[in-house]
Amino acid sequence: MAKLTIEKILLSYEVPLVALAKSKNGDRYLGVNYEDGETAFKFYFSKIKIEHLKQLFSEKIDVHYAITKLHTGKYELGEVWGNPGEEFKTKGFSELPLDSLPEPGMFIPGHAPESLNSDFKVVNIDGQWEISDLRKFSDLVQDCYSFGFALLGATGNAATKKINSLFHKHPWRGGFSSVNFFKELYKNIPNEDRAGIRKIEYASPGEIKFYMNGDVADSIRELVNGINEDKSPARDAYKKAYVYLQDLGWLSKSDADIALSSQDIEALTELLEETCKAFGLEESAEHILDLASGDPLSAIKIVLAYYRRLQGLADYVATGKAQDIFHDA
Amino acid sequence: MSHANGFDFLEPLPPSCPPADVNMPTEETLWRLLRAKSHTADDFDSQRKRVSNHKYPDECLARSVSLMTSLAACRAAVKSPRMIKMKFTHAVEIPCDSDLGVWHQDQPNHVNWWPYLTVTPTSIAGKVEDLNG
Repeated sequence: MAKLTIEKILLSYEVPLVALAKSKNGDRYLGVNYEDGETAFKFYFSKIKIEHLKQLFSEKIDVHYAITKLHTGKYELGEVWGNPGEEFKTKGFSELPLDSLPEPGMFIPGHAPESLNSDFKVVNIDGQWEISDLRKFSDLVQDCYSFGFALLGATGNAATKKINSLFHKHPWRGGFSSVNFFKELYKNIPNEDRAGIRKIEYASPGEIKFYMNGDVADSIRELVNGINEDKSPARDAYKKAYVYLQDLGWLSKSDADIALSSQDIEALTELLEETCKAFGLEESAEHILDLASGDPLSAIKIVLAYYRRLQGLADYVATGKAQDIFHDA
Repeated sequence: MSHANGFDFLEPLPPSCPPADVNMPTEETLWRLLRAKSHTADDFDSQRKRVSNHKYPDECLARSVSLMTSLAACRAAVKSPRMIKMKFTHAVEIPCDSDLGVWHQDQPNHVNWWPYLTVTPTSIAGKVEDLNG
């Protein structure tokens, strides 16, 4: 037997349909109203972790999934009206009553925290897209968005600390360092600030409509357009920095593997500033160096990895498959 | 007919109903669930009018017309085990206008509506959407 309190109603129509309850120790329970009882409505409750509740609120999982695949322990059954603050007792059962499951696809709208800085941004698409294009394009957008978000420091203190710690954590020896780095960067962006796809219309021309931080989207748009300009210095700067690190055998080594002299550090810092300037990131060079704990070798590698992703997006624009990238909806 | 707060309402209401302190929705249109593609006056009856002897926790809410703020919310609601049995298939648009009654948004996706006596819900109802479409 458990004693629960209704915290809030997540969905109702004439009567409460889905409720959130909590126990005295703070555990959260997702409750589903399945029929009338003798004294009130019959609900069953399934314990839900906060991370899964966040996914439910942001409509990344549905109620069916939350109470079946994510369920652990016993279901708590009780009768309750569903008024916030209402206390009630439940009994534990290992099985749910017959015909009491919701249908799959019951996504509950209206409870996701809203980002104050997100806007609708559109990328026009044209030509023939393969499935691999969708995957590749999405990955490039996500990686560029993650880095842009970190650079703008567009998040709250807690997330900023986590994001900054990632820059220190990765050894930057090449290969998986950057892949994992960008993945983890994205994971640390608060749910409400992540880039989401709101609409895909595949036609000639078609469009992909995103909901994302407007400032980050605008910065990516400017950098991508800059790379595609006729006399863009970015490509030469990338090549110069890459060859510099390659000639010294530093592409697959971190600062912990090399005893960098003060001259090395000075040369790398100068190269970082030059490279950032050529990429249109001149105002961010110092910030990137700070994020890399003052290690210019890691900082350059981060910038080169970012450039490769921007270049990927720029190629989609150059070929005409993506056009007018991240314009206002 | 009920007379409350200086207005006459479509259904009899208990004292202090609708509440004086309401949260007017910002949506221009709201949605009412239907069991068919077309609607009749019965589709806008409150729970109390439909099931006169049922026990409800709040009589004032039981005498309101329940509306959703979006089609997404309608599609979620009809998938609940309680609502599956009611076989709702469509939703009809209702304009949210303070001249048509008292409106109270009690949750992000739900609104209670107490229509004025002068309102004929079927005549103000707008387009009908298929919830499986």
